[in-house]
Amino acid sequence: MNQPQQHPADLIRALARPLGGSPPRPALPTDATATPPGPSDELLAELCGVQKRYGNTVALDGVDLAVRRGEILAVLGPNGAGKSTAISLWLGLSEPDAGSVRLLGRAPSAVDSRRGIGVMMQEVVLAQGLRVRELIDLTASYYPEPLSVEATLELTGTQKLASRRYGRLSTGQKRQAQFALAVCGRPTLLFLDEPTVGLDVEARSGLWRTLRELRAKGCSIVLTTHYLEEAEALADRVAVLAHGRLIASGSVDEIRSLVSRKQISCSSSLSADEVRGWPSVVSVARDARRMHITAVDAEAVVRRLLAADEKVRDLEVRQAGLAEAFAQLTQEAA
Amino acid sequence: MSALLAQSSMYPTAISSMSNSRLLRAYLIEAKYEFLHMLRAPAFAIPFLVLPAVVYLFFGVLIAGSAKDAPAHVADYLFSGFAVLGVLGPALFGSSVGLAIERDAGLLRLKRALPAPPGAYLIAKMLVAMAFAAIAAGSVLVAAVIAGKIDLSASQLLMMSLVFVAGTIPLSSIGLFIGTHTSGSAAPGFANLAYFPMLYLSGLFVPLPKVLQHWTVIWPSFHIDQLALAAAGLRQFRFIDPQLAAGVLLLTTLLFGGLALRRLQRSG
Repeated sequence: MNQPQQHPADLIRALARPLGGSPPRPALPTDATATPPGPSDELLAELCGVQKRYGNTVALDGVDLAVRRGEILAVLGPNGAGKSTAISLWLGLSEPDAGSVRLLGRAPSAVDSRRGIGVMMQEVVLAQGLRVRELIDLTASYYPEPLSVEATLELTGTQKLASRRYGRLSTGQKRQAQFALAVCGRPTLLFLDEPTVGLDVEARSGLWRTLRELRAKGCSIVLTTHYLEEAEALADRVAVLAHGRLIASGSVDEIRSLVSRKQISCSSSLSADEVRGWPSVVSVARDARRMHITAVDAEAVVRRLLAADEKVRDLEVRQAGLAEAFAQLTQEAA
Repeated sequence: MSALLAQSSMYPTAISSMSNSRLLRAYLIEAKYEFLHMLRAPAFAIPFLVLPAVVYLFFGVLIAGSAKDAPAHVADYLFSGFAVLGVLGPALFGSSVGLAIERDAGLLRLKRALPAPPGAYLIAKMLVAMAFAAIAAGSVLVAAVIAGKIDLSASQLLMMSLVFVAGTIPLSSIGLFIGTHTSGSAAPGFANLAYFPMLYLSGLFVPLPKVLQHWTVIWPSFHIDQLALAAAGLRQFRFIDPQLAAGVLLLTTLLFGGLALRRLQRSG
């Protein structure tokens, strides 16, 4: 944001809009998301003090994490942080060394509890010779009250893939088919592991839209992703794992606020020493052309800056996005 | 899309239980699609469905069938041996290789995470192996009838066919054991290690040296053949008591099937 000689009020309004490289987000559907129900306090899945080791490697170290009804929880973390282990424990695919795991009020190994979930895993090769329609029919047969095949195809926008054999689909189309299998059972809780890897922009937008609609109808979703903009766009709550520990948990805004400092840079005739003494300024640095100010309350600093120097130019304020917050949190945890 | 979601109570707050009819349907659907999946794999379907009849016509009819001083009912004996050959392929390879490849592909892990009914996947594999075995043994039967080489009544043929199909169960258990303990690339090798000895060392149709004849009892294929011959009442080819043969096959099923199930429950 370069706004030379701009009116202070406009600049202050502009501070509310973060800069950065987030891609444009798809428009929200007007019907299903108009008044989405907020998450309730009811817990659908819990990890309580869970520890899990693989040989000498600690995968999870005393993690407490829960999924509430009606929320989209994004589980973030660098590779090896423990995301997949957490999901695998919730799905009953492995047992914790210590602590307890609950899924829909029961042990995850109980078939009854798994009848309330849908799953989309990474790197699963489904039966190559079966058509997408047949795969949906097969998966839906596991559930007591599934969607019909046609309804599932329509919901996930996969009608064109219905008659095609799974082995002949592209990578992105296979992910779309897997998503259809995940939702066909009308799950109360949906686990999606990197759901948009390999999807083109249009397919990704469609999947995001469907996820919002599902949530609006009461389906809770646990999402792991490396695309932080995906978590930012979809998640009600974010959990950040690093080295097997939960290092942060909260709404996207709360996570952002954990690294609430903002970076202000401008061309100004003021000296660095003068600005360094202002309230809420953390640090000041100068190069040949510009002054770089790190501040907690950027708005107050900008107001004072504009008042103190009428010739201030090329003012730029950067607010921490989820990506920066994530990077800082995981670096601190390292 | 939105119209679908506009339906009320789209996502239930309580999990319904599965009715018995729905549960039965889930088992049947699993078997149906397993069958379709295998049928659409020509590398599997063609050799195991067509080859037994071709091999029988060549060796059992053209070569052995032309022997002038052959004992009575030797053609029936050969028919039984080649029908067991037809059963061996789908039962051993269909269960072992398919299962090992699908384990490698993460499909078993997904099925464990999904609410697939307990054992549905293994039961489907076994049912499909039985169906393919029935087709393969049936093709040998059709070839034998057309060639006019067998002297068995319809009821004898029916009893033998039932034994062939039931004989798939212990063989599939061995296949499932291999499939749950080996990788997709190693499974064909291990399946061959079971297949070829059972083919040639259980006295199905190849005359064995005396030293090997005593060892035929260790191969399940020998016991299936013995049961089939006993079911047809062909006493001159009975080498062991049918009850003993049935007992060995039952033990084979329990041992290998149990080990396969245990492995699947532990590590998928």
